[in-house]
Amino acid sequence: MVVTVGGQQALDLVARIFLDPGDVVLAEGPTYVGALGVFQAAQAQVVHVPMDGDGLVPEALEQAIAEVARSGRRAKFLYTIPTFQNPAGVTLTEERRERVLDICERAGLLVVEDDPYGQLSFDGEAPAPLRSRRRDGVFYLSTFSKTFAPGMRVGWILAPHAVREKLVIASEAQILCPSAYAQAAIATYLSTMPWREQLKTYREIYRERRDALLAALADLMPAGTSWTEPKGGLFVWATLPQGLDAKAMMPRSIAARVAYVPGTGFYADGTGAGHMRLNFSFPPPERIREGVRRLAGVMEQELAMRQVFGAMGGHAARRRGQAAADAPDPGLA
Amino acid sequence: MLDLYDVPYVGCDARSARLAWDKPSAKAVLQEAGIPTPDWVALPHDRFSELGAVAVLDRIADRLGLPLMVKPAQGGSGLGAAVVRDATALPAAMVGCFAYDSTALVERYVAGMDVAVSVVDQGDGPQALPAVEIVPRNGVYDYAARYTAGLTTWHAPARLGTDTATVVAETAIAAHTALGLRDLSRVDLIVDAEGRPHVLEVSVSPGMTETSLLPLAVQAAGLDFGKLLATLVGRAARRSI
Repeated sequence: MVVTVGGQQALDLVARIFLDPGDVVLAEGPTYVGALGVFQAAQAQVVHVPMDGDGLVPEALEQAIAEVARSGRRAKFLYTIPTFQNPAGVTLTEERRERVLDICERAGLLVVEDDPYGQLSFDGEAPAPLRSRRRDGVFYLSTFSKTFAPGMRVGWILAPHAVREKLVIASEAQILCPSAYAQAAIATYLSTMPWREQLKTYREIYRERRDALLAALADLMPAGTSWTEPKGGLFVWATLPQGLDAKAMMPRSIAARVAYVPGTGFYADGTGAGHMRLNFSFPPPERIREGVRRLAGVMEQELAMRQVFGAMGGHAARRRGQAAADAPDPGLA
Repeated sequence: MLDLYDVPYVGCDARSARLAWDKPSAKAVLQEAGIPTPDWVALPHDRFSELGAVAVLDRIADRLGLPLMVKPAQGGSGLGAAVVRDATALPAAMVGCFAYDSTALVERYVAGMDVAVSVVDQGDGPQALPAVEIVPRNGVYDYAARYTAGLTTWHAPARLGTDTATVVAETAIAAHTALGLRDLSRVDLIVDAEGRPHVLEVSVSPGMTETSLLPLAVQAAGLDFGKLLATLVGRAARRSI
């Protein structure tokens, strides 16, 4: 294990060790915005692999690997958040975990498994991490940010034996060492406090908030809207009715004092405008309902506006159509 | 609120600020005063649903001619603003604009040099500082061009002939006066190919950061920014006594 300054440094270390400019990283589409930033800084190209309600689609992964190889480029690793994915909220099923690992093994592709949310399951235990099934070929990244406190900035990597030393050297070059004080605080917390009970409390709080969000969405969202139903984690991924653009709608939404993250932030290629990420972790249930009520109002206004101005034949409409065709709709089946 | 509590302040009173902030109202006052400003219509979004958007947009394009500038009636920084060169792009521009305000200002787009003229009154009446010329790299001084380093270059003073510079300065002072402004303002204009100025809008609270236009103009005038501000503050303080 290599201790890092949160999951973000873990990602950065892996990118620094493996990525050369022009390399390809395969990643779910959509994926964690902070990972896209790291890969972009390393001048790597991200190729998105679609998901559905059961997580990453294995056939699509095979296809993406083949296409990258055909184009003469080299995919260095698959970056995946298999459990309670950020931002989609979906989880890779047991059966698919084996298939994804097999595909990557056959292709000689490393797997970088990012697992910040695995402990936050609401409906039974989450499937075991990919790393627990293959010790070689899988980097496991996690953090105390979602289970203790994000401000502590303590995370870790479980790396294949052969590259562990490389990670340590790269980390020393970057930061000498992570804060010993923060690690001591967490060590004390884990050894003296009932942290398992605390996790149960978190799960109950988040489960209640997820339920409130799903109920409010079902009651209030305009027709044509769909969303994922996460079994853990912090996020719901919503797909807007045809023609709505989450980014263009943002000013109207800010005026109504409700916020979300437009889907475009989670794709390296600028698609995703027809989607938004809804985070249910912070507001209590009644505020979640109020937020959805406001958001639904904003969407109704935007839909009415688009109705009035008719079929928007310009570039914007074509771009949106393209985005909708490219972007998978997890959990819609 | 400041007037209510007798707190002295630099700048115009609330009534004038409101007038200048609402672009259609300000343009009406400017036009009334004989100050050139591009032809315009201002339309609240609900009128479109009543009359049918296609008919209204066609009529706007016929009346004003293309290209058009679409912007929210209130607001700044170029948010929600778009140049429309082709009638088919007008609906999208209107939707983008209505995300920021319930009323859209659609005006005839005047091609030419973008200039900003800062007007200051140090006690001897409003004076125009040298015009600052704005050259956005992609041709439109939108939000990105304003706030992304390297996307815009400025020339202070603007590259105008002496006669044109004089007319531009007089026009800016006239706009400042017509709107009942006080102490300072920044008048944004387009100078067309014939050297005629067209007032677009007037800011009663011009930006004061290192890269803002007013400080550039102060520098071009050979004035000391700190001393100028001290003079304005001193005047405001005396006004309340």
